[in-house]
Amino acid sequence: MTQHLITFMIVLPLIGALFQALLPQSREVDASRGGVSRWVALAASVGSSLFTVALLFSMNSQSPDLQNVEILPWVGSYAISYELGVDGLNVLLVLLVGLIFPLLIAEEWEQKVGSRGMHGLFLLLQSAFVGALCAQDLFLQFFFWSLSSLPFYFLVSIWGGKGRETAAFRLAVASSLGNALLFAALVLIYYSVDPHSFSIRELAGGKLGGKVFPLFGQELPVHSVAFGLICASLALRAPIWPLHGWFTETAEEASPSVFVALSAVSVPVATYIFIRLGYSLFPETIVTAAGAIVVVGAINLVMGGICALGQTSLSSLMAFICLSQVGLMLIGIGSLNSAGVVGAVYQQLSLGLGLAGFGLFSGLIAERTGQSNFISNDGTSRLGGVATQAPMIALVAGVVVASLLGFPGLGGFVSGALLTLGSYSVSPAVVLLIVGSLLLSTYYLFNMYRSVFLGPISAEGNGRFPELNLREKAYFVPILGGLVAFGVYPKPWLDLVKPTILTLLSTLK
Amino acid sequence: MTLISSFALHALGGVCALVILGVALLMWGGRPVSRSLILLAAGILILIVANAALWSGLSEHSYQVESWIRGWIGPRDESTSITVGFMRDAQGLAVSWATAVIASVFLVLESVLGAGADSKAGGRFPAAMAFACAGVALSWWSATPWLSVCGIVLTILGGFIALCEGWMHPAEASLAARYASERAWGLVASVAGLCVLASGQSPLGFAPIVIEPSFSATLGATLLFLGLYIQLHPFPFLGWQLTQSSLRLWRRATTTQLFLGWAAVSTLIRFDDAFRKLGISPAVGSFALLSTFLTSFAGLFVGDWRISFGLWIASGFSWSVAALAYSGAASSWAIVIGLGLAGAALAAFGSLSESIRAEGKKSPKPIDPKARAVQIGVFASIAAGTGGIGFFTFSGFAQLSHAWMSEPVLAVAGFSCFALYVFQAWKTGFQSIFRLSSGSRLPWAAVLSPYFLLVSGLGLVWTGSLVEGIHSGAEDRWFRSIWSLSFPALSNNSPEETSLVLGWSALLGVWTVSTLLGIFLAVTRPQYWEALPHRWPRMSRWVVGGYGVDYTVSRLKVGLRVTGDASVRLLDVAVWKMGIPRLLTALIQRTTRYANLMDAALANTLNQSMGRGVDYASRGLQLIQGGDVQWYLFYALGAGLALMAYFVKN
Repeated sequence: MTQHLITFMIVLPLIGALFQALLPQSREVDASRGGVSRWVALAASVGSSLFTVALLFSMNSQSPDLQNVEILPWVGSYAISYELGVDGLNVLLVLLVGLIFPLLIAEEWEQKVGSRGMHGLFLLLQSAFVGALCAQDLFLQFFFWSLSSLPFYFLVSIWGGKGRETAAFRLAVASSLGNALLFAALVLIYYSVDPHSFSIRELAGGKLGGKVFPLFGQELPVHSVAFGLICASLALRAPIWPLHGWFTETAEEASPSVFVALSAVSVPVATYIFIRLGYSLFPETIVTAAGAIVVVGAINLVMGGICALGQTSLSSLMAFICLSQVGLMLIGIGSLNSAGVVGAVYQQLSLGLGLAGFGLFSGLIAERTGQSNFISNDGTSRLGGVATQAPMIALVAGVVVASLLGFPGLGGFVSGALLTLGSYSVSPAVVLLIVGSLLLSTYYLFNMYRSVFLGPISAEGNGRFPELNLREKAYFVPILGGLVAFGVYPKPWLDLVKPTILTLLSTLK
Repeated sequence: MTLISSFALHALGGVCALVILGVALLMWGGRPVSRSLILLAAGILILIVANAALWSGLSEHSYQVESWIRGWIGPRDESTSITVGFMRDAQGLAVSWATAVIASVFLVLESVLGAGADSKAGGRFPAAMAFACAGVALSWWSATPWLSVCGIVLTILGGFIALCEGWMHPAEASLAARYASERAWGLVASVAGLCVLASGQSPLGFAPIVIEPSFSATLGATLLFLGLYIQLHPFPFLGWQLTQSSLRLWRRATTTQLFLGWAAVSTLIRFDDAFRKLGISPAVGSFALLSTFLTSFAGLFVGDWRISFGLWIASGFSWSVAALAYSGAASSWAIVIGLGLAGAALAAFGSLSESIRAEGKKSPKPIDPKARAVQIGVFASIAAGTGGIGFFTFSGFAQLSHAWMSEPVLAVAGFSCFALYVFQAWKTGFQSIFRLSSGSRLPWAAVLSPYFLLVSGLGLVWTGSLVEGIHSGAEDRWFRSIWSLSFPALSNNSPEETSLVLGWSALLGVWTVSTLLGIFLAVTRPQYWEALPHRWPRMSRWVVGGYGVDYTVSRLKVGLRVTGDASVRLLDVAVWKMGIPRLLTALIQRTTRYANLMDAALANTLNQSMGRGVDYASRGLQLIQGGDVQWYLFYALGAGLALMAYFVKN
């Protein structure tokens, strides 16, 4: 059984999703009156998460190689195989996916409209992301990665706000374009090597170096073109400034849980794919492009921070925080040293948890007050006094904000410190940029905290703001616990990540 | 090899117990208020016990510094790794003792003056004190700057929780948010500085600090210094201090200033050698001196004594940094300790004085020994905090003044700033706090407990000598000097007698003149101070507004926000929401229109060609079908066949 842990992690949510589709319609449409479907959904998701825990315990932290490998031929004539495995690069994200999706299902427990469909789509996403993370065959990875874009279209277009159709359409266009570019890159890579192969293992180590292909009478280097296509593809989905328009629009229209899945999971998975493919398949190219990666990251970091300053709604603020933090990750990826890259990998986890916490408490506030705008255009607070009425929510928000700011003792500090350590080798100016960006972050995050949680109780909030109920406490506990655990005792997680990163870095020239 | 040293276990246990207590007080503290105070008392007792255990271990090891370090982010011996650990030395233990003393006195005050707090807020200040005490202890017991920064975070948290008393009011809420964000800036700069220092060096630790001079070390040290300095509320971060608050003074003073200052100064003092080696001390000293001047000057224009008090404390911490730069860690430590104890005492006496005045308005009674005791306490506190002879601060300022003697320009600037510092303190104390015209019903325990702080601030307690033997050979040493134990190099210090006497004399002279002038003007000419803002309104507004820094920063924030809004409007709205969809729509529509046109034209052409082809063929067939063509065709076919038969036959 331990040999097929990853398969179980992928299949169990799929089975749960299938159940959602096949279960008979409940006569009680009101979800609060119960329903087998949501318990089945939760069980499937939690079951997959438990397999994740088993996977973690089964891993050898000293080994940089892939573990729990599963290989099965799939489409033999095209050398496509069902190849899965985990190592230090993807294990933290697998844990993140296992943590977050049960919480999202729990958050949508009281969903009155199409709850089965929503839960089914979340389960599909969970499968798709686990598959994309663990796949070691390019085609298989593309399959799962493109599979992950479809549920978002439905989640946004059905359960979104007033402009949901437009936002969903734009999301679909951006995802499709990104997927098309990625597929073009894969096809190019496949046909460039002899024998043809999609296996990352076989293509790793600079096998694409020196390969060219003809286009319009010119011979173009495969590694450059493929790398460029992959960068463009992931830039659309990551998102990278200035290709982020669809992302901020989705933030405004999508429901909080859907946007958490997009920002806290999909974005880190996109950066993971970039690290995996970039370092494994294009070691020379990434050395050449490192400077550009850092520049793009710095632009994201700064522009995300500056744009966040003027945001008046919690969801838009969250989108720009995500944008800014992705820039930080890119700086770490482009630093080409162990501290920076390990920091980028750890940042995927801490950012994911931080954004999940932020999104979920934003959702609570929007649900209880009927709006997510915390400040008017003239600068006056629209919400306020939540800390007095619901101190637990204020505590949750405080811990999440502290982690996003990189306070010691929380997950954000570990990744932030490693990224700063790693980025100094790139340039001292980058460190100063990071410091400047963090100073901006303190301003807008504390401004948000003051507007929402401190001050007098606002009339717009109707004066009533119930405290967290048991279900809500239950799904915040793993997030806060994770942020504290990953911040106070990061050693076991870093021990898992570091050997793989060091091995990848050793292949760079 | 043991997992953790016994002394590290004591330190860790003490800090953790305080933090857990703080969390418990936050969650379950409340009515009755006495319950939370009892819990806080238990926490202070834990701190004292941990201190005692550590101190006894230190004395058993002949007061040798001992440290225990482990890797936190990365293995311990790897470069760029972030390490944590505990250190046992006299410096740190003495400060944590003093923290426990202050916390104990404020426990008494809280029980007397803090009554009436609502149930929800009842547990907050004790929780804030618990976190703040834990933070100071952790900062001074840390063996690495990383853990020391964690201590600063705990102290900041304590200050933020203490400010929660006024969270319901918009102004107080903004003050609390501003406090948190400014402290966070300091943390960001400190951590960035440590990261730069750590990159490419052996892991950072306090015993010893090994930093090789280089550009990165200078940059890192500068960032670290800036970050820690921000925690002391210096110029240009005066805006927060200059804003009025209704929070009770002793709560605000201890958690947001005194304890935070002690926590931040721990790393500054331990990094003294590194700062000197990297050559940033002169710049640090000049900046700190400027800050003391500007901070004290602002205090002259402020009418509210509580704001003036806060500025005086901030100026005092800037003095400790100036002392660090010019004369070294020992004098800085002396000023910090003395200022902390004196500041806490003055905050206590000031709050008692306010309480007496409030009592006097309700039910006046003649001034009595309790009120006199408060007045004497005020006098003694100001003397203790400004370097009055007999107090520990004098030792620190004396060392500093001696360091100035070799540079006349520096001496003039330094003594001028010192004069203003002393003057501002007496003006604050005598204009507002000292004036009492009524007796008090407060218990003697509350009135006398701050005297414990004053006694703790005496030079004799810290130096073991009545004449504050700041150099070896003091013949009146009564008992072991904590100061010498904390700074062994002090015992080997044998400064030149002449410059020492000159320094002391100048210091005493300036102090005496400033004191007399301050008291005289405050007592006999109070109307001058009240008229000052009206006499120079623009300058007064500029000074009281933080020297225009707040205005500049707010303009900068507006500029950044406008840039952000413009970027969002341009990119998100104009390009992505409107531009690209319109462009794509137009592109698709035109392409499809042209494609449709081409398709229609092609279809038309094909239709026409096919039509012509069919037409010609059908006409031909029609000709064949109808009329003579049929017969001509028949004849032609027959002739053709006959010809073929002929040729075949032949």
